Amino acid sequence: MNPRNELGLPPIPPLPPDVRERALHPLLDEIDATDPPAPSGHRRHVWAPLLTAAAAVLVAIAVAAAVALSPARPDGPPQPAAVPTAMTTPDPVPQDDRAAPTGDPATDTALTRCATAVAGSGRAAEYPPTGDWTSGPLQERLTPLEHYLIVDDSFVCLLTPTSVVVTSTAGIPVGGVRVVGLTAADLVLVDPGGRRFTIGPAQQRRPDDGGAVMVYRLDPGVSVGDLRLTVSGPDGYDGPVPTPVPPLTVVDQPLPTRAADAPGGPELADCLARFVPEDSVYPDLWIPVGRHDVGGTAPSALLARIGDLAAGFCIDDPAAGPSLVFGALPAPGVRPQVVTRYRGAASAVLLTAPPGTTRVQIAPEDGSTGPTACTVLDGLAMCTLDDPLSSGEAGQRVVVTASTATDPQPFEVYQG
Amino acid sequence: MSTGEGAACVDATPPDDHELWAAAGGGDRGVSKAAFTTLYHRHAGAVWRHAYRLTGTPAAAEDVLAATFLTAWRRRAEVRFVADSARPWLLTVAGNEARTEWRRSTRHERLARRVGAAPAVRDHSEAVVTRLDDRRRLRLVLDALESLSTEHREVVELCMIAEVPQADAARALGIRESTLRSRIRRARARLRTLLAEEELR
Repeated sequence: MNPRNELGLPPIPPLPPDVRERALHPLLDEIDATDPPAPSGHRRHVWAPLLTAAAAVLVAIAVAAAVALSPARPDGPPQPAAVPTAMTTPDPVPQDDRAAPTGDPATDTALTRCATAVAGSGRAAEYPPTGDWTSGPLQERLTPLEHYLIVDDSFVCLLTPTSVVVTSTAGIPVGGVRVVGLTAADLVLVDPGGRRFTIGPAQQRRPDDGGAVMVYRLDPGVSVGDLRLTVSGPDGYDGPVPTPVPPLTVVDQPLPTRAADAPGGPELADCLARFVPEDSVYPDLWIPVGRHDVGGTAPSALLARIGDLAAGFCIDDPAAGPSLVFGALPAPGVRPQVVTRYRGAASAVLLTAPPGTTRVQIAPEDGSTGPTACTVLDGLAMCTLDDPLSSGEAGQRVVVTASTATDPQPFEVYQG
Repeated sequence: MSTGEGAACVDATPPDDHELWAAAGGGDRGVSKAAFTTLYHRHAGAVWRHAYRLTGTPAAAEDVLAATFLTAWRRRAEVRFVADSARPWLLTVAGNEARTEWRRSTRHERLARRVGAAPAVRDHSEAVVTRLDDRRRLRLVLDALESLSTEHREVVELCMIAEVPQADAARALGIRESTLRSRIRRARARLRTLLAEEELR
């Protein structure tokens, strides 16, 4: 036992062996789930041949075409992907031109994608050297399909499934604050001097968030012309928001769109129709991959994915009607990982099914009924379970188990 | 580690943290796992003691221990070695995790107080009284720590709670030793005031 220390804190018992072992398990699971360093583009294997061909075409276009700014819409900043300003090769920038690792692989990957887009755009001179970039954490925009980074406390890089949108470093500051466009619904306010400001329509002014860069989302039905910007201080500003400088948009990951006659297409379109354009779910990019239908009382579901970026399912919930539920696909691992789940009047779990997955089953946690087989399809495992007792709000708790060729004994992959 | 004198030579010196960390970051998952497990067993005891001191319960300390090594794995590129040891950096990570845990638990307690007082339980055995005194002392210290600036809290946690030597703590925090000593002086004075005020209440 160690004696009381300077602060009079009590002695500490030694680390019990069972605690030592228990606390190690989450770490080993995490290491197992971490994909070892792999050649670039390894997550896009499904579309690799297509992308290679597409890249060759795009490089030719990029060389031949003059890079032009995307025109700003009269009522706001440009759409991110509708009018590409440049196209670039998907080959990442050389190691020397990449920013120092942040410690978060997802942020590093995103930062490299941004740097690649800027380097290949022909407008790299407008930005600091990519190798010197420092970034804040990767942040989700509205759905797992879009993320953004604040780089060098001076510009924002938005990553969509198909393109990279980088806010301009140009623009004349008003009262020390510069306004640039990111998407049709997002403005970026760059405030290097830490000025205090408010922005918004007359009755809904929003204050600055204290950071050097603030992303301001316009409410539905509000346009840039409705906004007023007030910057406090002796040389401040109080007036309409200046026309935002449009961003640099680079289509770097062209993805196929759903064919009109794709099997399951109309059903998927019905599910997607529940979203409005502002939800940024990229409805045209969702491709049906197959149906889960195990008979009995387990609801059927239509599986769909956007390349290796996201996967989801359209389920006809007895209470809520057709619903699309989706999530980002995790980095490949050796064991199934949860992509997304749904609990309504039915319970459903979508997981990855790495090669070698032989069997996946779902069962009520309380053991009231036996396990139901899940459908393993295109690297995914879809599991559904009817819940006859549910009120349609909370659903029931379930357990999903899996077996693999190397680990034939069923092991738990989800409980909740 | 290698002696560089041919395959016949076997170096029995255990690899230092720097070497293990490099092995953990390589592309071979088996090697990564073995290297990080070795690091875990090497430092788990120290991290546990630190976590226990900063949380006061074995359950919370276990959570902090697990969270510290998970965070260390996720942020392995940010590690800062002190004389080839990752321990001071791990203790800094543990301090952050413990603070998160402490805030979570105190929020929970505040909520419980709003909902209603817990039934009073009295036990007059000497051991329990001592434990309650320890808990009270710990709460006083941790509440006082919360009142310090981040810079002062870091040096208190590393030097006065984990008892890391000042030179190592300075290197782990990336500051000069003189700066660290100055911070400790100010933090100690502030803590004395805060603890005296609290004990008078």
